[in-house]
Amino acid sequence: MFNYTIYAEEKVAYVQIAPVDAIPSGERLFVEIDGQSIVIFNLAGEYFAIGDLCTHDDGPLGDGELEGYEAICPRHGARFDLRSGAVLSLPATRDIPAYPVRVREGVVEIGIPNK
Amino acid sequence: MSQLLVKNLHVSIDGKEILKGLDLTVNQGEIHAIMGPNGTGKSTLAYTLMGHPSYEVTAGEVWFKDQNVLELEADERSRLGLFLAFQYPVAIPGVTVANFLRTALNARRRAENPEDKGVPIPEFRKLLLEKMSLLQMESAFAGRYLNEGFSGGEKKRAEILQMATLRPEIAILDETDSGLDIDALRIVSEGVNALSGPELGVLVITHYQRLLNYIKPDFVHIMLSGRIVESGGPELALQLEERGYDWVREKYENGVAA
Amino acid sequence: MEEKPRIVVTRTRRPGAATRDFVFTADMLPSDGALKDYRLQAWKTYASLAMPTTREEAWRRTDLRGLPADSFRLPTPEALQGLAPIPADLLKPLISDQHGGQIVLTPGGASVEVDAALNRNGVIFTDLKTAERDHPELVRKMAGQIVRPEEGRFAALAGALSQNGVVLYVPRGVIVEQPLHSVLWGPGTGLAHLSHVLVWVDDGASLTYVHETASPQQDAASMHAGNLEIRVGDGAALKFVELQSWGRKIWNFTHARAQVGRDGNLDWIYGAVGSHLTKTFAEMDLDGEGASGRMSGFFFADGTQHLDLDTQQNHQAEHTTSDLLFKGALKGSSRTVWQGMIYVAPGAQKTDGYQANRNLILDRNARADSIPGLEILADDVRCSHGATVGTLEEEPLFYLQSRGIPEKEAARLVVEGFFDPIMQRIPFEGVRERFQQAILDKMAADENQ
Repeated sequence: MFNYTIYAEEKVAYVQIAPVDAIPSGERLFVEIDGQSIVIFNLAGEYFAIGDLCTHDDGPLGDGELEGYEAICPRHGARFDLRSGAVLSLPATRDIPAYPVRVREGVVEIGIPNK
Repeated sequence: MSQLLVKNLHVSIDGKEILKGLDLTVNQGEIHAIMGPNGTGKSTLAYTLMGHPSYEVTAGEVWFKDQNVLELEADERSRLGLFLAFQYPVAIPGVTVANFLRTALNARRRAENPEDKGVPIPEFRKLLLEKMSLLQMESAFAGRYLNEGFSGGEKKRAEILQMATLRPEIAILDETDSGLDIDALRIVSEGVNALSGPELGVLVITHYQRLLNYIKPDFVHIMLSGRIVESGGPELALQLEERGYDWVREKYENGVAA
Repeated sequence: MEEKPRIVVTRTRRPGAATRDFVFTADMLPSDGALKDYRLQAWKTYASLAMPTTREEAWRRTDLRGLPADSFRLPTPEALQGLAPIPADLLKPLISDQHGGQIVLTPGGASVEVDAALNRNGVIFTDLKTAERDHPELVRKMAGQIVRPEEGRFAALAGALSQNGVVLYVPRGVIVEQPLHSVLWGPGTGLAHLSHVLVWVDDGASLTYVHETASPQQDAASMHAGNLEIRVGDGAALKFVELQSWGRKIWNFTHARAQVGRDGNLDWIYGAVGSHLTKTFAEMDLDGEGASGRMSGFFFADGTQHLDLDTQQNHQAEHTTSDLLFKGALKGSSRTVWQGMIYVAPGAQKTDGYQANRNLILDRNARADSIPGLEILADDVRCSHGATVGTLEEEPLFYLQSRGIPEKEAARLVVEGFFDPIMQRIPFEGVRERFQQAILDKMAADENQ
């Protein structure tokens, strides 16, 4: 339900985040857009952006480890799919948002759904 | 004269077929009874006719007053003149009987005329008290939350009160006798009888013959495995009372996947 | 109106500190007044406290990073000029044609109307500034005793700089028959409405009091921080109705506590339908033996509203009884948090505490957190709690639709019914109808979620 990566192009507005070299492979960046906390990962040249709050109890998901395409909340171990935001394991039961990411002229951009 | 026409109705729930080609015609002014053992799809028929979203019609037609009923939402069916007295009426916490009935009446008026201001309170109060006395209900009943904490008898009386207030043309009574003691059964039946007449067609769905001692049917149908297998007059009910359902099963279940 | 999104990029996760802070300074403190010392103390506390972050337990679920703290100014004495006037229906008398008194607090001002008979009985019902001038001893005795500045940065801020407020005192044994009403009206943008309400129902007295906070819909943010200190004396009774219908750009923070003395009784009704974000601490301390308190709450969030309510029932003495029921509905992508605690002090035997929170989620993007808690340090007590988060069920809707009621109206009826038991506890039809209407308006609003 929060998987904005599958939204039609015109339903999101892309905002510029950072040049590609600011986020090397294996690194992450924390972004706040109008109060929404988002974390962007670079996984060997693939970019993923998800909400930075675990839906279990608002844990700092972006500080967690990655395992393949899974982000693991450092607080209680809930897992989410980086690609879709889908929740994969307890104690969380609700998806987190996942945002589309693109690179335009060397700049990483995140698509934020229009209000 | 309105007519409820059911043709070759097939209905599934969760992918399992329950009604397997049911035909039935109920005219305004007639009283029909559908009898049958448990699990033959009697309640499925009732819910499907009223438009419950969990029941999937896979084939067949239902017509009422020149309208394809299957294309209508439950509320539209109700406003068209269909009524279902539930076997298990649902509690609506925080909504009083009076508030609920006034909302239901006003929904009818607004469907006819979007500008309608709603039924005036004094007129509504008078109407409600009149219908409640018909069913031997205390006036305090109107202020209770709908079906919440009602006894079995109160629930069924509340169903008939709704029927009396909404004045349908075809009413389906789904196991209205279940959970009633003799006194409550008598009050409920008298209520139904007071309402029946040339303006009202009734479809009584029941497992037992006992309700039919009070509400006299013109036609009796026997339902088995999702179809009506036998139709006749009141004598058919008496036959079931005496002989049970076994003879029906023997006659029709050979060759029918039960 | 198109606004450019505000983007902050960091390499490490930030701890959730607000990026902006208030620009209030010590020279904004009033230079005189009965509460001068208290305000100075509160200011020192305020200055020593940082903006709450999500690392603090009480603020875990409420993030203030988006708070445009540096945009808020204190209203000047002429502030109301040019701002939206208070709507007439907020001022409608509570009971048919009369009430015992009404106070309207506006930015930079207040108007007070009180039945002369009440004054003759020694009842004081006036705005804070007037009370500081006319009843300095009383005000000093009341302020800062029940809600202390150290409880949080917003409590300290409101204590230090509150420009407006209500002082309500009912002397011993006085039964106030007619209800009293006050409204804090907070129009304007870029303003910090800071309020302080002090209520003391002395021993054996009784009172019904309704306090509302409200503002019009505006296009930019303002804030409210308020302290509410209530004392219900021995054998006294207070029915207190607290309602907020702030506009959708308001950041709202309140600290409320009621202390109930021996055999005193408190009946507290709380309702919230407005604001952009609300963080409320509402507590009752049952301090005297035999004290009892009931808290009934309703809230309805929609759009992107965020309501975070912390309640606490503190049983400090034997034979005390508390009963709490909070009901909430959510639409759109709103979020609510209810976190409740029943605390029973050592030795507070034979206490009976109950808390329940019921939530109704009407859109799948909305989220309600319900966190009950018990901390019991006595052994002969009866305490229990319940919490539910549910959605509209299919069967009641179908039942109503089968009577000709269209789906949307059926949903409205179910939601109305959900709130009805709480609504019935609001003692005034006019106020009740206004909030029922607010619920209906929210139900009717289309949200494509």
